[in-house]
Order: sequence, then structure tokens, then C-alpha cells
Amino acid sequence: MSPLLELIRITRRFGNLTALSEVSLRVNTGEVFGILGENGAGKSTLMHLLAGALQPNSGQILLEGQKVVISSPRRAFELGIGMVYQHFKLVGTQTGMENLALFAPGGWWRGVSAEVRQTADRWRRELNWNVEMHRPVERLSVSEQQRIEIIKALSLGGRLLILDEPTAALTPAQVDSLLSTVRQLAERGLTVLLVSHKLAEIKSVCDRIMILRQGRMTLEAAADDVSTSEIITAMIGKDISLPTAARAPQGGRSVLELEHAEPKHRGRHSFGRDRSVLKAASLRVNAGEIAGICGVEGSGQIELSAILTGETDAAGRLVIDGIPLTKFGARRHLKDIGVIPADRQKEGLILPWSIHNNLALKAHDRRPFSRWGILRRRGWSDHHERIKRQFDIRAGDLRMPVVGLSGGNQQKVIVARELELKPGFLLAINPTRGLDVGAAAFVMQQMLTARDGGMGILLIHDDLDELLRLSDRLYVMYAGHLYETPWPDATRRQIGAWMLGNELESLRSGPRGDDGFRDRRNGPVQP
Amino acid sequence: MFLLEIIFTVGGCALAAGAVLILLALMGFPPGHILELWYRGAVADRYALADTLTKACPLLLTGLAAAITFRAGVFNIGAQGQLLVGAAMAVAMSTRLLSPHTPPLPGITMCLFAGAGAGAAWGLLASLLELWRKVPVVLSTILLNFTALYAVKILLHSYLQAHGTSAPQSSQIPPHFCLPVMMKYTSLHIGVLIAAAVAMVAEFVQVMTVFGFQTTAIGLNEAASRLVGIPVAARQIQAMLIGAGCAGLAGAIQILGVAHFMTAKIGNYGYAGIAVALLGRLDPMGVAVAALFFGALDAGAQRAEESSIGLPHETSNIIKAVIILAMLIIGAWSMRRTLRSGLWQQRNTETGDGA
Amino acid sequence: MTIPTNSRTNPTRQSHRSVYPFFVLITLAFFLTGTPVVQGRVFRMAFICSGSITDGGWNQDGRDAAVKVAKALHAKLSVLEHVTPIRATSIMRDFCRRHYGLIIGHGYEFLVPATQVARMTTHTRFAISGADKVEPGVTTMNFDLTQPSYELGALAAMISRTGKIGFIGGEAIPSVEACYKGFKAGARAVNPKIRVAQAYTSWDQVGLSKTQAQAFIQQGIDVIYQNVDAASQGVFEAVKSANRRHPGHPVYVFGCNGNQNNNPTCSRYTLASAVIRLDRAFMHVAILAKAGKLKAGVINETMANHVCIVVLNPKLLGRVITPAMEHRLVVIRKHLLAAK
Repeated sequence: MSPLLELIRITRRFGNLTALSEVSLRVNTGEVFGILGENGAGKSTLMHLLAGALQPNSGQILLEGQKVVISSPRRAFELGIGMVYQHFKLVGTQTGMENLALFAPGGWWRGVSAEVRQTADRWRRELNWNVEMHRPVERLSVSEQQRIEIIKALSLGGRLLILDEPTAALTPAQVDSLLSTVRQLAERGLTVLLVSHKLAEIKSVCDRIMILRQGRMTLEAAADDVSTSEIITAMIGKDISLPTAARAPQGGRSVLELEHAEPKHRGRHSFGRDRSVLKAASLRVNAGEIAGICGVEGSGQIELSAILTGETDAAGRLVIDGIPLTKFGARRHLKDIGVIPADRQKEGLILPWSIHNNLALKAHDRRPFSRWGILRRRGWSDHHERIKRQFDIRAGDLRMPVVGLSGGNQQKVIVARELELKPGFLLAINPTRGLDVGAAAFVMQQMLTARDGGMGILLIHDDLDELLRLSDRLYVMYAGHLYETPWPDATRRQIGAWMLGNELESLRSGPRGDDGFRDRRNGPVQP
Repeated sequence: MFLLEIIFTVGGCALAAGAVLILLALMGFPPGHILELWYRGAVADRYALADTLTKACPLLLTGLAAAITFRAGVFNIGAQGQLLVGAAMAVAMSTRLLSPHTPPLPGITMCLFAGAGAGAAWGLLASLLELWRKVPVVLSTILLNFTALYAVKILLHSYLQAHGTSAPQSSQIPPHFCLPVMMKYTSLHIGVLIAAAVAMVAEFVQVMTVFGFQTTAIGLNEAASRLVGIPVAARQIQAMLIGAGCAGLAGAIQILGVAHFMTAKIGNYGYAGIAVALLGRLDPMGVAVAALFFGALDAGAQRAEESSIGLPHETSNIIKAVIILAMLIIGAWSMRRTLRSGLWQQRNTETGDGA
Repeated sequence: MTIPTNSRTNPTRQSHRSVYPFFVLITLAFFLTGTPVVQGRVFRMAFICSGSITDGGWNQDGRDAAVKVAKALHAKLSVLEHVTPIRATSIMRDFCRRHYGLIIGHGYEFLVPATQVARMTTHTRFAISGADKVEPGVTTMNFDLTQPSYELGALAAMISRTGKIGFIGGEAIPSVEACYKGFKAGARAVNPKIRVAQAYTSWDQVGLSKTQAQAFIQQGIDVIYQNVDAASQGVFEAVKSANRRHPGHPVYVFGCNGNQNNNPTCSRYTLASAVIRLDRAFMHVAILAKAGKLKAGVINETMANHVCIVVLNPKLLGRVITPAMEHRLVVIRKHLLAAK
């Protein structure tokens, strides 16, 4: 079998940094090829080279044995290379069909032509996907958007489909469906390049895998021939053991009580937004425990965190650290709790500011960092240097802008800032999203340490593995309702079922009474 | 980094001025002569410098008004309206409300505070509209500019109108309520010193205080500031009060220091202040330099206009506009550069040698 | 909105220090630079106005008159336009310092600044046009268009078929209101039942004055007297289009301040203009000032000293303005002058 795609000694430099160094690879037709690597290993550079967004400094790209220059994304399309980025490149206000038409070979000005429609319908039939193509994309779920992206890539005459972290935003069931689609495509003779850092998925679906580390290829093998530990070693150089939560002592005082909370939507505020799905949420977090919330994306997690951070006004009762908040949306409590927001760049950091200032963002108006409203910057340096060592923030100079840090180090800055004040309650939303294995493990370890120090943590997380590993108690969120599970006395299969809305009758909505909390480890809870 | 920025800014100004000079040369105005007149009008002697300082004074205050609010993420385009209201309040205070027997010092102080307070109240109106009814500040402040203009016109026809005339102008400010002039044959009043002091305080507040830290944080990332517990709405309203107060003070100082009476035509200092703030990169000291620069531009332009070559009045405004364009281009360019260099560093740290 | 944010990246004290030497430099310069010497014995005069010197009306006429006077007297002339009352004070102070002999402030708003500056000088004379108040040290030229307006009002009443005429002013200031009063009185003298509408718009917003004129025309007004300077273009355009639409119902307009009979838009429908001969008035004060004989006080510039006059449009003489009307106007003018 002749290789469909061949890269020969590709090198790409940025300034004096070599992002890719003499990488060679062969991908055969009809193969699913996995590319693994930590953040910054060169995965995205490699993909950008194939998608025409970047040019190599040296080396050759051969497509079906012929040398090609992929000078632009459009050229990549013409060559049959379809790319699906992790963050979709769709126009939110246009329908799926219109998004396809934007990139149609004839030009966007033809609009949704019969040709575009036929191609799209053909792929929809073949993949057996029932995707709504005539609604604005922004109203669709993430997985539907992804399907539109894939159809877009395929209908551009795709011979080679590149998927960048395709499962990052999907639920387990959706992941399974996507992976089987990938296999299906490969059997039809299409070649798929899968970029991910989820080992299990890669191993299960790929024929061959390649691992990049610091711009070099460290491993290329058939997927069945390598063990997980070999892969991890090739990726990060050493064997990282993921931390396992030691169960915390139970029955502390409650640091967060939420009773029948739901967004209070007034007409003018709900205009143009999705209607809230969250209904009468009740939950409770005790000191010294991590309460996890799992659920399919869009089950109400966003609304719940918006209520907790005071972003939306809410009806119900909220007690933090024993102090009831009389008016939701007042936000005064934010000074006293910790928040690790979902989007670290948009909600967590002030990117152009120095690391110093970002670390001081929460504590700057307390003594000794300021007095009488005047900042005492001299005191900051030592303190921040100590934090930097303690939280292993890898930065040369604390005065440099935080935008220059890697994702993992940026997240560490936020974690350090929020944990260092030792708040009674911490709200963490996807705290390890997009981090490499090492940084994720570090962040998780820090949260466990904080928990052992008596902090109550509410963890809303996409990654079920990590969530289960960290949580002492677990809530399932489904269609806006919160259910407490008997975790750890439940199986993963059960949890998966609950997340998808099955067998929920065995759970009761909201927290059980105090007795329930005390006794939860003694046996399964009766419905 | 910072030095580079100064060089770019100064270079941009020079380029803009040069471009306009070339344009003027093509129109038949001798550029050498223009430059000489400019020099004589703006910096050559102490009268010229005094003129520059006098002209820079209101620009400094309205520039601060824009800078302080922009920094906090409040796009207050309403300095003009706040200035008008402040001026009218100062006139009302000095000619109507205060007894003419008030001693000068408390009288002037009260007039200035009344002007600043009225400006702040006018700005607060926009802030409250946003707080209560979600009216964007950009819109409400622009509209309130016109509201202020016509309200002042009505006042100048009624309550504030000088006795014995039907012209829309106020009575003269009693001489002992006028700001003392520091140099004969000029209008160099002590308001210039007040403005300089305000700029210094603003600088201190911005760099050294919790308030400055928080407002800057809000302007750069409102969501993040909210999540760390900074009282965003309160800080924004406070910034608006301070900024609008500066604009009101500018109006009061112009009336008490230079004009000594009021008509509705008070000059576009409020709008020019936005340009000054942008040129000064929203930094009080930068605003001071920018205001001096604009003051010098105006003083020089006036000399060139009145001279025999009769440079068009619009020249200095054209130069200012071109400078702002150049600044925006440079700003966009250097922001992109910063981001790109940031990305490089990111790769560096991630490949392990960043520590 | 794009805001340059770069300097905000490092709000540390250090970064600001680099501009401090700049301020020191300014302060030093202030004390090191000397006082300039004013040389030359040539007579200098300045002309300042609050609008644009290309407005085709009040300000441009003033500038042209000042240039004419300066040329005749071999004087050095400085012209400044767009001068706000605030700027006026410091500008006048500066002219005083540089020994200007005469400052013409072209508009009532320069009266107060002139009064203030006049206190500190003996060698500079101030002549303010369009003001009627007596202030120490200042000569005011009170252009009184009441009589010419009276005459125009009479003509309007003779011409109007609908019995409705209108007045549009740029601003409700004394000199403009005087025009309205004269206009009304003149019209009533001819036709006691005539209805005279008045409106005040703006000096420079062409659209506004056009809308106003259109509104007048819709109300049945068929003679419009406008005193809106640069915005007169709008009135002319409204009149032009009204006449094109309904040729049977002609609408006429009067010019003001300058001679607007030859305006390119609708000179066929411009009956006459109330003209202020600024060159005459300026020449009078400039000669006195040069000789050091200009006294403070009000100079009433009226029909009597041939400064404020009516110029009929020769194109319409004999056609629209019949010889009988012309004759009647002459009689009215004689009465006016005799009454004075």
C-alpha cells in the first residue's frame, strides 16, 4: 500500500525555538493515525503545516508520492485535506448549510447551492447522522457543531481528515459514537489523523500512533504493540502516577448550602439567550471534602456556576460558610471564596498584566499587601517568590506578562491565587482542562492538599476519570436537576447511565438530610 | 519596552506633523516659515510657553476625565457635557448663589468644587442609567452631551443671563472670584497648577493605590475582576464620578480662569480630551505630556493662523486627527507584536527551558 | 473601540519616571527663555470672529472688509476664525502685549472679553461689532438692521399673496431679534392683517434651516426673511425646490448681512438683501484708531450713515417689484430717515 501522506524531515522554527525538528512520518490510505503529545510538543504546529496555516522551514510534504506545497488553507482543501479544529471555525449565526456553503469550491457568493446540499446530504446519509442543518449553529449542541465541522471537512473532497482533540467536549456516549464513526470512515478508505491526549481513545481507535515530545518524534508504532506506560514514558519522559484521592474524614461543618436555587429570569435578561435549564438545585458541600458534579454538557452546570459566582440573580437560599446571602447577585461573597473559573484566559487572568499583579489580584486589598488603600508592593515580591516555588510556576521573572506563560503555568497562577488565601469554600470548574498530564496532576494534587487542610471544594468537571478520582461525594446533573449519588458505592456504568438520564428513579433530587450525609458511606441509599 | 513605546509615540507624532506639513507645502504654504511661526507661538519665549500651558490646562483635565474612566472600562465620551455643566455650575455659583461679599479663597474653592460636583453628577446620571436600565455608557454620555448643551443654552437665556441684555450669555464673574493670573498679558492662571496637581494625584492613585489597581484590572478584564471579588459596578461608578468631576473642574477653571463669563460656545475640550487620553495611553503622566503637546499645537497654530500667511484654522485639528490615526495604527501593531512575543515565550516555557 | 493598552501592561512606578525630565525641561524653559521685543512702527490690527471666514455671510463679509481696510491703511492684519469667547480673552491679551492698535471683535460675544482686556491697556483699541451695550474702554458698532428690515417687511407685505410671511434667525440674540421686530413692523404698516411667523435655528446647520423653511412654506408662507449666515443655503434650497414644484405660487426670500441677491441657488427668487456695509464701518473705526482718536462708546450704524441699507435685486425690478412698489419703498425710507 502506498502512503497517502508522507512527511520527510520536516523542521519548523519560531525565532530561535524549534517547534518541530526533522519529523518524518508515513500515513497509509485508510488508516487511523494518532498523534499524541503534551501541550507544546509540536502537535498543533504539525497540524497547521498540514492545514496550510504555516509553512515548514525545511523538509518535504508528499501527497500520494507527489511533492506538494500547502501554501494556504484553501490549497489544503483543494488537496483534499480537511481539518476540524478543537475550537470550531463556524459562523455562529448562520445555519449549518450556510457554513458549508461558505467554503464551497464554487465560492461563497453562490450561497447554498444544490450542489452543496447534495454533498452534505450524501455524507449525512452515509454517516447516518441526523444533524439539524437549517438552524443557526450557535443554537446547536457542541457535538452537533462538531458533526457539522466534520461534514464540512468531508464535503470539501476530503481524502485526509484531521481531527484536533475531537473528544474534548463530548460525553462518553458521544465519544463512543464519534470513534465508531472514525473507524467507519477509515473502512471506507478515508484516512484520519487523530490528535489527542486521551490515551485510551487513541489506543482503542488508531491503527498506528506517533508520539511527539519537544518537537521530536519519540515513538511510532502500531497501536496494539505498545503499552500505556510506554506511551506515557514517550510523552513525558517519566512515569507519572495519577494521584488518587485519599478519602477525607467526613462530617465537617457545611461551607456551602444551596436550596432550591434557580436563575431568576426577568424578561429583558433572558432575551436572546437560551432558556435556563437549571431547576431548583439543592446541594451542600462540607468542609474537608470534594463534592463533584458530573453531567453531560449543557445540563445546567453553567447556570449553577453563574449562580454561585453571583453572575445571575437567583431565587432560593444560598449559605456560604454559615452566612446566608440575602440577595443573590450581590457578589460580595466572592472575596471570601475561591473560584477556579472554566476559562482561565477570559475569566481567570488579566493577560497583559504581570504575574505579580495576577497573583495579587485577590489579596491586594488586604494587609499586608496594602494598607489604608495604598498598595505595598515591596511586600509582594518575597511572598510571590514563595508561592512561585510552592506551586512550581515556571516563569523566569514575576514581572513578565502572564500571557507569556504556558497554559499549565497560567492555571497554576490561578490555583495559587485562589488556594493561597485558604478560603473555606472553593468552586473549581474544569480545573485541568487543556493541561498536559504533569500540570493536571499537579493541580489535582494541590486541590487534594487543600481539601485535607479543611477546605470544602465543589468540583464541576468534564473529565469523568479525574472527577471520580477526586470526588468524595458525587452529584449527577441531568436536564437541570441535581441528584446525589451514593458514590463511591456506585459503579462507573451506573454513573454513565445517570448522566444520560437513565435509572434516575433510584436517586433522589437534592441533598439528603443531615443523616444522609453522615451515613452515606455506610451503605447504599434507599430511594 | 516602555522606552520603545515612547519612541514610537513621538515618532508617530512627528510623522503625522510632517505629513500635514508636506500637504500644506503642496498647497503653497512654506513649511519652513510655518515651523518658525509654530516655534514662536508655542515655545520661543515665556509668553508663548504661558500660552501653551494655558491651552493645555483644560485638555489635561478632560484628558484625565477620559483616561480615568476608559481605564476602568467605562467609555465616557461625555466629557464635553460634563464640562459644560461644570462651567454653568461655576457661573451659577459665582454670579448667583454666592454672596458677592464672600472672601476670594473660600469663594473660588466653592465655585471649583461646585463645578466638579456638577460634572460628576452629570456623569453619574449615565452610570446610573447603565446600572438600572443597562443603557450603554457610550450612548448615554454622547446623548447627554447634547442635553447639557441645550440645557445650558436655556439657562443662558434665563437664570444665568446677564442683566440688561437679551444675548445668551452669562453675567461676568465678579473679579475677586476669578482665578488669579500669574503673568501679565497672558491668561496663565493658577488653574494650571490645580490641573497639574490633579494629574499628579491621579498618577499616584493609579500606580500606588488599591483603587487604581482595581480600576485598571476592571478595564483589562471585567469578568476576571468580578470573579476575584472586585466590586466592579462600584469601582466603575467611582471612576465615572472622578473622571466626570475632572471634566466639570475643567469647565469651572476655564470660566473662572480665562473667560470670566460664559456662552454656550465653550470649545470642544471634551472631545479633544479623548484624543489626549488616547495619545497619553490612558496614563496620567502620559496625558499630561499629550496635553502639553496639544496645547503647543494649538498655540503654534494660532500664531501661524494670525500671521500674514494665514494658515487655515483647521490645520492643527488635522494634525491632531492624523496623530490619533497614527497612534491607533501603532497601538494595534504593537499589541499584535506583544501577543506574538508572548506566544514565543509560551513555547519556550513549555519545552522546558522557561524556568 | 480600540484603545491602545500597552502601557497598561506594567503599572509599575518605574515606567513613569522616564517622562519626569520632560516636565523639568518645561519648567526650566519657562524661566530661561526671555521676553520678546516687539519691534516696528507699522499699525497692526486684528480681526477675530466666532464662525468660519468662509461661511459666505457675516464672518466672511467681516474678514473681507477688514482685509480691504488694512490694505487701504497699509496696516498689518491678523485674522483668527472660530474664536470662542474663552479663547478670545487670552488672544486679546496677547495682541495687546504685541502692541496691536485695533482689535475688531466681530460679534457681540467678544464684548465681555474686550471689556476685561481693555482694563490693562492704553494703546490698544477695541471695536466690537453687533453689540449695543456701553462698556468702558470698548467701542461698539451697533449694526441696526431694524430700518432695512422694516423696509423689507413692507416689501414682503406688498408681494405676499397669502398674507403670511416668515422670519428665520440663526439665534435669538438682540441684533437678530431687531431684524424680526423691524420686519414685522414694516409688514404691519402696509398690511395690518398680515401674519408674521418667526423661528430660530442655527448659524451653520444647513439642514435645520432648510427644514424650517420648508415648514414655513407648507404653512402657506410665501416670503421668507432669513438671517442665518452660512445656513442660508438651506433656506435658498427650500425656496428653489418650492418654486420648481409649484411654479404658480412663487415663494420669495430676502438676504441679510451681506448682499445675497446673487446667490447661485435661487437668485431669481431673492427679492432684496438687508446689507451691512462692514467695510464702511470698519474703515471709520480704523482711521480713528490709527489716529488715536477712537473713543469708547456705541456707534449706531444705521441707514443714516449708509452702513445698513437695502439692496433690491435688479433682476426682479420691474417684473416682481413693480415701479409702484419701488416708489412706495422710497417713501417709506424717507419717513424712516426723517423719524430718526
